[in-house]
Amino acid sequence: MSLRNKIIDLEKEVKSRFVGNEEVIHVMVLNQLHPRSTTLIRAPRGAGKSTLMLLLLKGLCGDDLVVISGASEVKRGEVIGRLHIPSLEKEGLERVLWATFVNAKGKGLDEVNRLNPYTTANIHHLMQFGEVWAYGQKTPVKDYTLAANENPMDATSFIHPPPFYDRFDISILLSSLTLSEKFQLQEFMNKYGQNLVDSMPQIFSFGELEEARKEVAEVDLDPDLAGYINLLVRDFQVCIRDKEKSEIKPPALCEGCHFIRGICGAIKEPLSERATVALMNLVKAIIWLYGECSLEDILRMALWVLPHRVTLVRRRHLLADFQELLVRERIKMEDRNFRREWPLLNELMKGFNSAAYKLAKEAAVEDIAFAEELMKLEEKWIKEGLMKREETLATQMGWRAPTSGGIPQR
Amino acid sequence: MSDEKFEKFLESQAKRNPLRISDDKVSWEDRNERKASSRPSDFLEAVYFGKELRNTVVMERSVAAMFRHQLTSLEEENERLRRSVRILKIASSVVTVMFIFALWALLNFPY
Repeated sequence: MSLRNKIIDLEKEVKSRFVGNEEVIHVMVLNQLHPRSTTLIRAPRGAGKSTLMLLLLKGLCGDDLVVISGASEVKRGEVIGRLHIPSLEKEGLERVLWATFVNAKGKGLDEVNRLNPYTTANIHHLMQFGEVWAYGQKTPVKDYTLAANENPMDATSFIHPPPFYDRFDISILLSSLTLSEKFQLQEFMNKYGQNLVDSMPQIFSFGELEEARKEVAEVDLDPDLAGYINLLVRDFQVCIRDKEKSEIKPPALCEGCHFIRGICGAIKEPLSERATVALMNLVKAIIWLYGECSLEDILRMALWVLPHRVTLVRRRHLLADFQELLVRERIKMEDRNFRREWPLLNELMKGFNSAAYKLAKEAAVEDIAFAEELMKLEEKWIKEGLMKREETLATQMGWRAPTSGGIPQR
Repeated sequence: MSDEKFEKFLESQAKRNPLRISDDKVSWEDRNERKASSRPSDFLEAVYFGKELRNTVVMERSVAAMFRHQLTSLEEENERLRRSVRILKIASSVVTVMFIFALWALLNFPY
């Protein structure tokens, strides 16, 4: 069986044991196709988040998996490593015995929001640097698959720092079962002898998974797709008043801003650049598997890449808020096409043209991401003596040019 | 993204939507020219460039969604401002009553 068929088979096997939530299972499987993959499953109590996590890990790693539960008391020695006492007593050597969690290919974190902050910090370091530390010694961690789950509504949670959640490539949200799906679940339970996880076969050897990951990494992204991803991420970061460095955050920062009704006005803490990497990995996986990927696919997947990385000004619903923002993003991209923003910029990159510049300036007044690029060109044209600073968009609109940093330019 | 890749993105977008550029004019062909009445009208052109609309306006779902969003935001702001006006009216009434009372007190009890 080819690697592609195995991936399709993995999805099929998970779906034959886990009812509903078809889209999130699909995204979760796609997310396995890059090294050191991390997935966060969020759901209310009893929605099957631990079951889904175990089904995935079993399908990929068989018995080579370790699950750490936040619900039990976890010590560092159990997660990372402990001292080998005989070596210390007999030879005076501090030898570290690395825990099975470190060496296991499949790593599971059950109820991650209940893990104590020390354990979380160790796992954060593992996800960040691909290594673990204990007793002044470190060891590299080879490729793995990590899946975690939590109930975001759990009142007994620890509040982990946002950078920890940012290390998860995707965060999927499970829905509870509809009436007909409940019947389907009972049927599955009867079929698999009340034990869905034990019946899950291992579809891949980890070596095969690594081979698939290597093939996916070699996929070359089309410039349009790379452009859409970068644009999407930029639209969720950009702020003409530079909220990243501002002590005052939206909505107070947005008072009187020209772009108050834009996507930027709905975002308090902007998106990290890891979102770009996560989206690019998913797009590469889709191309590897199906041969093509569209803008709609990117926007659909963004729904699972953005929510755990962005803080909204007003949050009413975990998913609906982001769905609305992504619809607005789609409209914005259409508006950019309508105004021919990128073809205009392409012309202006070749050289100054007053007619193209006039149209670009009109478009830039309604689009900050485009305005940033135009302002960079204006700086170049000022240096070349093609225009004066008073004529620039930055001066006329009172915006800070992106290349100026903190030093006011003359 | 390197500059080279960014340039490739711009070139690819320019190929999809080519521009006609002369010394003082930039134009392009609207490949989605809508002739049939069931096709969406150029509603955005009417809004942005002040072009005249035909009697019947057919709007794309995305354009309608954009307008709906803007209308909702305006309604919310309207509601917020209406609340502020109501509070200000009450406050000004209270101040007026207090002012009249103070004036009455001053006139009747000068010492």
